[in-house]
Amino acid sequence: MSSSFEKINYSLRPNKSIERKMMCEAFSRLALLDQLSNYRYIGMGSAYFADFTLFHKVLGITDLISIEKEEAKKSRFEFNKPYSCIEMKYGNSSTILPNLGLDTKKNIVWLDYDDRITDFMFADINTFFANASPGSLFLLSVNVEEEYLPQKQDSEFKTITLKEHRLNQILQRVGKEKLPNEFMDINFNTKNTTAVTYEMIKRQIDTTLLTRNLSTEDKLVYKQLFNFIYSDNATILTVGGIIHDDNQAEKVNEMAFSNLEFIRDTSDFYKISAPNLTFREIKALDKALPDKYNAEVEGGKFKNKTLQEIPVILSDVRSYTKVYRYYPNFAEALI
Amino acid sequence: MSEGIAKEDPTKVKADPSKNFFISMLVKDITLRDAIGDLVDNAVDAIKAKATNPELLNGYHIEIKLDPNGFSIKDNGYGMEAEVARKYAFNFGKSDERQLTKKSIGQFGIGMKRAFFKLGSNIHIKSVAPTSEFQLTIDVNKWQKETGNNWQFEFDNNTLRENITNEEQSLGLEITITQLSDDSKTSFVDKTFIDRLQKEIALEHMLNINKGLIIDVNGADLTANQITLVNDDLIKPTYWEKTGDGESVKILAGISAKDGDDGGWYIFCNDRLIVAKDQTSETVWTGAKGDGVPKYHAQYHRFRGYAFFEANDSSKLPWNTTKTGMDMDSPYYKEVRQRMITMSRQVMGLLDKLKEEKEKGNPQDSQNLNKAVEKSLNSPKPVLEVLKESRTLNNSFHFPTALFNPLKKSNSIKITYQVSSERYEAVKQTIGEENSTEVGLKTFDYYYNNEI
Repeated sequence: MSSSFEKINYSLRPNKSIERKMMCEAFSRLALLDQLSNYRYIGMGSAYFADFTLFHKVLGITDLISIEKEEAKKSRFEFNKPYSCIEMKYGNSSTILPNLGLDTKKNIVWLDYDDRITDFMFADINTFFANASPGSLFLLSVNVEEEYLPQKQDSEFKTITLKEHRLNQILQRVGKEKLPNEFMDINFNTKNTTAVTYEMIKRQIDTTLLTRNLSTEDKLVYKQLFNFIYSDNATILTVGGIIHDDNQAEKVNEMAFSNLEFIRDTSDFYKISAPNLTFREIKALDKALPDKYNAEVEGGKFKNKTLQEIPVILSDVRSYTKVYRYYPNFAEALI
Repeated sequence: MSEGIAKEDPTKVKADPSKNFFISMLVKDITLRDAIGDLVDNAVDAIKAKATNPELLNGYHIEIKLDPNGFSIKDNGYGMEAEVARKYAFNFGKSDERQLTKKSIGQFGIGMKRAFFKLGSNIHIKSVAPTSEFQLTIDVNKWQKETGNNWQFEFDNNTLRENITNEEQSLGLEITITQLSDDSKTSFVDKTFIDRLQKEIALEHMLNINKGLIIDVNGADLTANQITLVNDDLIKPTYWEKTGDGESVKILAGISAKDGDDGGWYIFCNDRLIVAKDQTSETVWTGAKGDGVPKYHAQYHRFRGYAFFEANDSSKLPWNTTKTGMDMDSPYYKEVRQRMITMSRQVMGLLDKLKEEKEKGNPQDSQNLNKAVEKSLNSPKPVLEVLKESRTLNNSFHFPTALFNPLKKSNSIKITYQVSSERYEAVKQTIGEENSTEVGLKTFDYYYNNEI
């Protein structure tokens, strides 16, 4: 069986690439709390290590750990490690994470799962929020794409409806106890799958923090920063934020995360959608950006004259103005 | 009668307790086994109150005798001062004024009386304390019949002596119970009951026995198992502690060999074992869809976790009132349980890898991690010793992960073939293997070893 990294070239997922750069921009504000070089990044680098490369280059983080479950392909991961300061840890995240001493330094942890929400992910959330030292950042990405009926259905059995099938699938993965009551009779299309996944993650975070705060003086607070949705092929939800204590509250406020347009602290997500544009179009658009009219339209046309003149449909131009600073450049190159 | 009350004061409603009701309620929720356990706990408290160093209990003993004619328990602890007996010890329920012995285990003020009523109806107590001594007899049947609001017992005639100085060697308490309850009578002839009682007391007080205390039941000194953990250069248990004002908790988790049955979590409160070999959701084993870790199964039989709660004021301990389990709603236990869950996951990192490395087809000789761990399992250390070295440990479980050498799936080929069942059975008999996978592997190995 091939792994997801063998099926998808991660560097060619434009929306994911934008998400990564947006996160990186938010991470840079952590410098108000502590030197970024004191942070450790824990991720799931796969064989491409795109996130590791970015965070090492831009943020200067030199303590990086990549969790990888496929130990059998060890040599390939070791070969592809872009820097010597990345340490590989082989095994399941649920048994690796607890042994990383999350309470011994500030961490940025990005649990970038390929899968749909599954029981073991709650164990990982629990491990992070029960142990991570204040000032640490948490991010989790899961697949929230709706499911379809299997094509071959055994005619002997009573056929089940799409709605039943979707509910069965989610129950199998997370169990009856985790699924909130108000979602028991719902059709898990992508929209509802996103909503329930978000809700279950949030509840796990809250429950763990409540328990952790029960008998400690230094109460910890979780401040959500990220709630991204994008689709390079399947729809992916990324949620996350920072945990901090009372002493850090002021510093966290100073970071003014809310000035960043993509920051979301509620269940309303920020949708990343990169339009498909040619290089010529990109160059032309960039010249007009940032737009002093903020991409406002009047009479079906952009107020900004330069933008008006570019022959790209209005909605694509609009999307581009939101992400242009993070938009990846892909080109075929002979190296 | 109701008219009579109405005449006395029409605004008052009668709510007097009845002794019969009280006694039957008290004994309902306790087993005979736990009643005896309560008396043992009190004896241990009295011994620790007297011992200069509660870590060294050599020279202290508790003697228990039970047969169809009577029950007795005798210790050489601190004894009970007459003033304590007069004001507190026989109250039903703990009085707020009473100062308890530090780090006691019999704190509820109900255990002793409840145990008396459960065991029999004639109770005789003889106490020699540092500055007083007394004897006291309770005839439950007679006491029950006395009407009115008389809730008192009386010291035996001419036994009470106060403001004296008793020699240290003479101190102690002795309780003798006759006119046994039907329950006691039938159980005390049952060898299985006595055997179980011995085993359970030995388990509950294993730490005290390991510290030198002698507990003797019907002439046999109880021996306690040593609880152990591997702690060497390769494998180091994970350790966590929290110390507060007058209370502390220390947790250790790792692996040990011995019996597979002994796997799980152990929780001690002031040295008394409350939860033993737990493999349920009371500790961490909720199943992957619960808030803890996967359900306990064979793969985890080497897991050992030990939590030690200590509190000067025993009401701060997160146990339930019958001392048979933890108080699941206590914030303190919730916090510690969360820690236990994290620590269980740490150790599972190794246990999962051991299983994966052992998977079929991986030659035993290549199972480097398993080989190293087996070697370490030969010499586990007593937990009390590991606790003393807790400075050298931290909140991570250390094991030689680099030795992990699983079968590389990409390097293996699966062969399938079908043969007649007669020919298969014949080969299976000769090889002595149970299943077709093993038979297939062995036949292939045979060819490989002889022809290649």
